[in-house]
Amino acid sequence: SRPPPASRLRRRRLPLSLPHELRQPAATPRSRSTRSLLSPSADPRVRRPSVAMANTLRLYLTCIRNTLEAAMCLQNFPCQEVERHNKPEVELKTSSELLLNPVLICRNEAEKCLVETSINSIRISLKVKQADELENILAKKFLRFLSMRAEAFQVLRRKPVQGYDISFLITNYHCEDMHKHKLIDFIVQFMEDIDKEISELKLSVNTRGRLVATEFLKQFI
Amino acid sequence: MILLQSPSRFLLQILKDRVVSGDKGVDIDCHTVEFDDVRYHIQFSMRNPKVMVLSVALPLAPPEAILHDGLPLGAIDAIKAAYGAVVQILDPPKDCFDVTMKINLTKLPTDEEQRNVVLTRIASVREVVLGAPLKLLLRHLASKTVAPNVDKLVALVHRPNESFFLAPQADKVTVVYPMRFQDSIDIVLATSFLQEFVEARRTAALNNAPSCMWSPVPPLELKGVNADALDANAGFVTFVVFPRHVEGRKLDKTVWSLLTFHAYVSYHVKCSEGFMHTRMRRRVESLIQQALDRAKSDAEKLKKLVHGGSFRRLSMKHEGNSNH
Repeated sequence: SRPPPASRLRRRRLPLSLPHELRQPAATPRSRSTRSLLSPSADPRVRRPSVAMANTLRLYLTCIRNTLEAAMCLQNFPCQEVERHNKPEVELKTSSELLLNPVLICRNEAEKCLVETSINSIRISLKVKQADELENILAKKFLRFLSMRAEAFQVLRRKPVQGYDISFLITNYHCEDMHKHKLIDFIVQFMEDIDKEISELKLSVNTRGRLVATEFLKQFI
Repeated sequence: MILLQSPSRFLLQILKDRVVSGDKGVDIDCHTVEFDDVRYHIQFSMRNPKVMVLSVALPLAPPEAILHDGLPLGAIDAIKAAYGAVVQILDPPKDCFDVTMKINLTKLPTDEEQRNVVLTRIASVREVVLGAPLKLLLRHLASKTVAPNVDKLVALVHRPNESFFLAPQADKVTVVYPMRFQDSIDIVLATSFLQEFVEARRTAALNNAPSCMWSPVPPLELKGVNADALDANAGFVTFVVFPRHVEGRKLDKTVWSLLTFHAYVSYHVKCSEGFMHTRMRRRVESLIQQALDRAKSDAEKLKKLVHGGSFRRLSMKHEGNSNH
């Protein structure tokens, strides 16, 4: 079938990032030597949810949700170059008339979300916050576990896009099988779950460390 | 089991079984390896049922830790003091081992409880031999003197080719551990654990415990030690031990705790990694289950829409029958 005329592929202008006032300043990387000198209340290892942070999380997720609702306009589109092939155009990026402008939503320097859309597929890449070394390895391990089981999730991509931690690939077939708003709910819920899980893992590691240390030191009393 | 136990379960089990089985029994010739490269070899033969031969091999000592006759300072004396007539040291030790002892089973006390105490002590041979120089220094601390002929900084073996350092003084002993790990994930986890040690010490309940500090660079006490011994990728932990930690019965426990500190941290780092993996896998499976349930419920809804489940089906058979 003939490709749709270019006028139909409207290029939408969406907010590129959060307004400056609402941007969360990224945690400054603290060197290991200063960590032990900090008082518990200023301990950077514990994520203390503040009102401002909770606000920006909601705003960030709402922004992503709105972007996805606008961008998820997928339809079946057989490949233009090769007969009887049907490829996700966002992965190949061969024909520019089939692609929309990619949208980058930044919560701060450390967290961002890239949404690339094409006529039959949409690719969402996330960069998860990693404040210190421990969160770094926890996030890497957890996301690797998820990516390895990508088939079970159907919309997950096996390898994240360069520069990001995890990627989703949604094609028109997924949209036919599942409701669009359900898919978007799933993606946003997924993001929240990842964040929550990494925080919980970090907390459990710290709790274990505290217990191990207490037991050891108790022997001397 | 949070704390590492001093008597080796392997040795204790073999000794207890041998003593309990009395006249009947089989020949025993067992080798085993414990954490940090300590090897045991225990032998028993029915031809000579009154004796068991136990050999111990210690971890390889780094150049800065000085050994006397292949054993830590004071090891022979410590064995004699701990076991008395029950144990006789064989010289030279068996091939590839550092110390060989003959255990005289007839000299064990007849009372079962006392006998178990002695057997437990024999199973703690590692603490006796490896911990001998540490025990000497701490005993001097308990009596508030400094051991004569001791340098300002003493290096003792606790792991293969690695040592920890002691700076003994009259009123306290400073113990410094360079923490080394091979895996990069271990390093990060260990660093966070060691900082928890510092935090835990600050709580009011543990005010009487030895003070604990962590630093990423070698502390001042280690000035003058050569660079090889100071390469530690998870920082340096410093404990300051006071006489109250080594008086009376606490001495043995303190010796064992300080001797196996690195092993303790390393053991718990590995346990935490295992726990993390289990937890992550469980979480991922629950996420998959949620996703599948959602997809399934969508597919069912779709089926209902397609087949028009809300409409009642007219029975074709009925109509056919009524027509006829």
